[in-house]
Amino acid sequence: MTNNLLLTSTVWMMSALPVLAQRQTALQPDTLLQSAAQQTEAWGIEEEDDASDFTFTESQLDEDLDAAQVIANVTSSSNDPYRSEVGFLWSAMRFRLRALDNMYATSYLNGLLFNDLEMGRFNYSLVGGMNDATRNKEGVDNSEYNTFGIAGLGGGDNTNLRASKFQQGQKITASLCNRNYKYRGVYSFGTGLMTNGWAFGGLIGYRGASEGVIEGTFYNSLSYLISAEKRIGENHALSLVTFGAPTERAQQGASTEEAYWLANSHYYNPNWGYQDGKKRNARVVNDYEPTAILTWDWHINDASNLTTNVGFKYAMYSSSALGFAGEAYDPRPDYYKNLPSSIFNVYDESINNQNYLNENIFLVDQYNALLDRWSTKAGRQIDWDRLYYINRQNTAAGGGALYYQERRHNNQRVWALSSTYNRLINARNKMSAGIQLNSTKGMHYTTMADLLGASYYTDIDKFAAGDYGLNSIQAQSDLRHPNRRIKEGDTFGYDYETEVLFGQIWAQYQYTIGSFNANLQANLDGIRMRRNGKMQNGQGQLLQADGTYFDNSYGHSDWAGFLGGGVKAQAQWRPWANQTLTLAAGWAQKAPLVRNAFVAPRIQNNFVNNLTLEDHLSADASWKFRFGNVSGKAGVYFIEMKNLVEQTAFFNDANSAFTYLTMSNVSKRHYGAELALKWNITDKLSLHATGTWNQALYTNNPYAQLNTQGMNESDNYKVNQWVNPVTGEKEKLLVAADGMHVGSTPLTALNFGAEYSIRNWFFEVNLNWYDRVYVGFSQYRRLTNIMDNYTNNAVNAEGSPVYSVTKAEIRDNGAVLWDESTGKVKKIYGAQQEKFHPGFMLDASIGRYIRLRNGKSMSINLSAQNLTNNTNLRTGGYEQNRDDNYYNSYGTGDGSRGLAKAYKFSRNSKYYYANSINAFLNVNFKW
Amino acid sequence: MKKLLYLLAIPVLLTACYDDWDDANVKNFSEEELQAQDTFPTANISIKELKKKYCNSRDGATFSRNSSNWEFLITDSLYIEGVICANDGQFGTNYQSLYLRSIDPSTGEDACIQIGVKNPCLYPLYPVGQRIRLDLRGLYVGTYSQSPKIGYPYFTSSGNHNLGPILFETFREHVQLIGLPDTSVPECQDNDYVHSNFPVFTRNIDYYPTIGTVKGIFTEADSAKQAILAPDDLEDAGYGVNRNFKLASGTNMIVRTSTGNEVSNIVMPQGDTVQLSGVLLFDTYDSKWQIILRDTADFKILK
Repeated sequence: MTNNLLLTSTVWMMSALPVLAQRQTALQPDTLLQSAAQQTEAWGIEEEDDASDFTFTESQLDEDLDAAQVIANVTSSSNDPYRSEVGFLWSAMRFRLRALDNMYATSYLNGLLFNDLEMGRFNYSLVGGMNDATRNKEGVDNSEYNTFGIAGLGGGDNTNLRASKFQQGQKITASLCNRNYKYRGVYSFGTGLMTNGWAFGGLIGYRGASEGVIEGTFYNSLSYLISAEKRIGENHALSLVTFGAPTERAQQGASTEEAYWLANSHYYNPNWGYQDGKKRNARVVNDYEPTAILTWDWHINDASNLTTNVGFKYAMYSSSALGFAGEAYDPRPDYYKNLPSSIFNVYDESINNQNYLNENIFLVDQYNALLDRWSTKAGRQIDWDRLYYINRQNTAAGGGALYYQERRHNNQRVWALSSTYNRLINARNKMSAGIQLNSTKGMHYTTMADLLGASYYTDIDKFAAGDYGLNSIQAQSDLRHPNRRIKEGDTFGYDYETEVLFGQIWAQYQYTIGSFNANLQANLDGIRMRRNGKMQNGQGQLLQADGTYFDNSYGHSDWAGFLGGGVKAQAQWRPWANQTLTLAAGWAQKAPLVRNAFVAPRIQNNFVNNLTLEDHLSADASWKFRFGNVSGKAGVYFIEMKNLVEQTAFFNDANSAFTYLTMSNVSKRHYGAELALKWNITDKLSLHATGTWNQALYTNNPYAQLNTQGMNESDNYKVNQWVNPVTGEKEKLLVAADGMHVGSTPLTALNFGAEYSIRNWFFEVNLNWYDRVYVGFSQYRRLTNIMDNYTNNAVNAEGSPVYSVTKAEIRDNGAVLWDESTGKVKKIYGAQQEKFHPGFMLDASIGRYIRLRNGKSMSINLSAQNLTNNTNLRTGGYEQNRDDNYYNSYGTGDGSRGLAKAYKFSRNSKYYYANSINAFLNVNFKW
Repeated sequence: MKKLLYLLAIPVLLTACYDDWDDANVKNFSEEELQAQDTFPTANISIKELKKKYCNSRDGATFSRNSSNWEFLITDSLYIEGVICANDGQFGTNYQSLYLRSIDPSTGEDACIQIGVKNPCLYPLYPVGQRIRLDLRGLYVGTYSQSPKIGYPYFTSSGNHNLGPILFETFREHVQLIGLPDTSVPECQDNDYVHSNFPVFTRNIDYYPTIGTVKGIFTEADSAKQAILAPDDLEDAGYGVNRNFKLASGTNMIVRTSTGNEVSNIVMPQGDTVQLSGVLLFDTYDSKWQIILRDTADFKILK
């Protein structure tokens, strides 16, 4: 048995992937994913049949990474051969253009800016399942002249939802796939502009799966859109569009390599379990964002247009999660104490060896007992029946819920207005200008979704109750309703709103002369934000010198206001036909996001320290060319961002508390090269190659601010302290982020593909190679008061300080090196960030377009992704926000690092994997 | 038109909520999940005999760290039976612990032993008053700081080999629930040490652990009075705080409370006599008896 243990405990830590492959053939066939099924739609169809239909991309949107929706900018920019390709080529690997977050791309609907003011991002689920209606899209890069507004660093797009732009006729689409959903049906229609001046368009569709490709997930989504347009006279048109996609979907969770190995699948999902023999997922998202936009188009004259929009959105987004009270055992099946490696340090060869384990056979016994737990499917999933049982036992004893399912709501009410003026001054000069106004109210609260057999839950903060006592004011979530007994549907825990007012004026001007053109863009942005507490949280009561409390939780905070803006310029030169050289540069100051602005928004009104305007500097150079049958684009870019604020919120079970970690004064640098090539060998056969190399780095060690919910003031003070070991003085707490890469996107990606078409048959094959995907680094583990601090214990012959730390220790844990002679930091090293293995993915598609009589047509498309079934490609992941050691931070401890734990969080990041072989079959019929 | 309406209605019908759950059927849960599936034979050793055999002396122990900590791996088919008289309770005061007690109705023989189980929330699973039978084969019996215990070896955070908790996955294979919990049985009644003194105030494993009630006053320095029982800043390496307590008889003992739970927030009165109930153990380090309160109700100020 010991031998088995040695083998098993080392294989997954050393090289889990080959072993996993072996186990997949040997064990548990139920975890294997079905081999390829069906097909895709989309490309290969005739030009007029909408080659930009991204249905397959949409099905792969990483909706489970709600906190960082990653398919940034699937913009189809028709005149950019690079951007128009990468959206669908690399979406399987969650590729982000220039490694930028989605919030750096701006998305407009009919010219109305729809990036959300709290998160900064455009929410693609807003238009989920509406491909037929959203294909009229204009995409631009960062500095390109356009008619709708200012594009972000990652570019911009504007989707035209006016009914007259809908494809005339009717269409029914049916799809089958093995992804988040398995079947899809859409009916769409467009009347075109009728003689009476009216146009109507719309669609209704459904996407669903009782169980998606990931076990324990489901998908249940309706989509609708209705658009009406009326031309009034020669010069005016009014358009009204309303749409929504009520969606209910169960989520997949990331897990550690050990859990994947134990479950024998990289698609193990810890979010579900059996309840009375049926599968139930703990994390279910409900999302519905009904939206309406009223558009007035005024054709002033042949050279001038004015477009004005009024939009309204009411977003109802919520996600459920298991909660537990008091000392109840963590219900997550992959909680680290359920994993065999929690028994002893399997990475330590002085422990994980035959002799030692023979001497301490009880370690082996326990390891194997936990191994056995994972040998059955029920054992490695949530045990809902146990949660119910425990709750009922506690209820019988007069207690409340020890386990419950909560629903975290992030709703929004948005009013937006835009007006855009476009003027073609003459053949050489044109300009556009406009305003954008937006009033957003974010509503954030938790409701009790399910008491799991209990009859009530008492609304107190269990962490604060532990520190201050049940009867303390700090324990109360809402002092206005202390010790409230919560029933299902009741709001509890936290309830606050954010109010954001945004205004922007912008203008663009383009001058063209001969083969040269240049454009200049400028914008001025103003934003105001505040918090409005709907509960009076006990931890938001600040003790004053006179012994009274000042309420900093209930009601409004002060307003924080920021005035930003930017300028951009782009110059293009066409020295000869089919050759375009472009240079662009921009500078902008941008307000911080509301979601990062408050120290602990669930509790109190305080803004974070060092909240200031972000600085963005960008430069681009590109060459677009055509030589005979070869065309393409090559470009380089550089982006520098400073004074960013980033906040992460996590359950820190080192302190047993929900914790906000805010970094301010963050600097980042992104730069890289992009290439797209296409060789039309014949009019039927073409080859293409697309590639990019990016660097995306944090370039400084930003300030850190921790706020731990429920922790008393003195302990909160302690966790924010970083003491100079030489002078004993307090230093500003930092995160060792310098040199860390932006994670969860390939920084290097290459594609080689071929397309062939003959007699309305279309074939395409693509081979993609991905590299330099980094894990999302834990800022917590790189806090300068969490890492080891070293003072030189000697000086070498050259006079340089010598430290008692090895390079391997620095690589694994990071280190702060102090110079005893100066009392200053000599160097800060963050623990090395994991880089995932590179890999290939092979995709192919086949399509057939059938022209029928009477103008009717039909198309059938089948596309398959990951034909070689590479199940080892990590798309992303994150380090756990826990330290490998105990702390001496309590009691009389000084906050220093204590003894090592058996389980190594630093070696157990959580990962997501690219889908295994999958396919999408799409059939549509038009008449 | 009618066809179109039907078509439009299909998706609406399909979008009936998936995430809609009735209560789970958990009636057999305890039978299937909390105990071994095979029926155990009746007890063949009493708790008192067990303690005498394995907790009195470390001679022949499977492992012995020192004269206070040792363990025997049980390789024989030994079965004990008793009633859970204390557990971690709603505040987790007896962390990862059950106390199994047996009182012989004919002889009055009263014995209790601690069982360590690696789960921070045992009280709903194995409530006070629950009679259980334990298969000891494969488990370890010995002492932890001189206190009799059934458990499993582990390494403490300080790296010491000690007798710690049994993995829950292992424990449930070794336990059988007998009947339903009944807190009226004699095993669940606190020994009355208010009106009768401790039988022996020395280290004698026959008498500890047990549950009982005592009366006395806190003898902390005046500055500490009006303070809570277990503030964070007095926490020791075991995540607890010891308070000095003097019985009416003049005997000094320790009130030990872990930090971070509701009992720790009880304010020590100044000068008042208090009545305390809880688990009684012998504290090796101070060579005194100690009491661990189970709940805030275990603390009463006597006027």
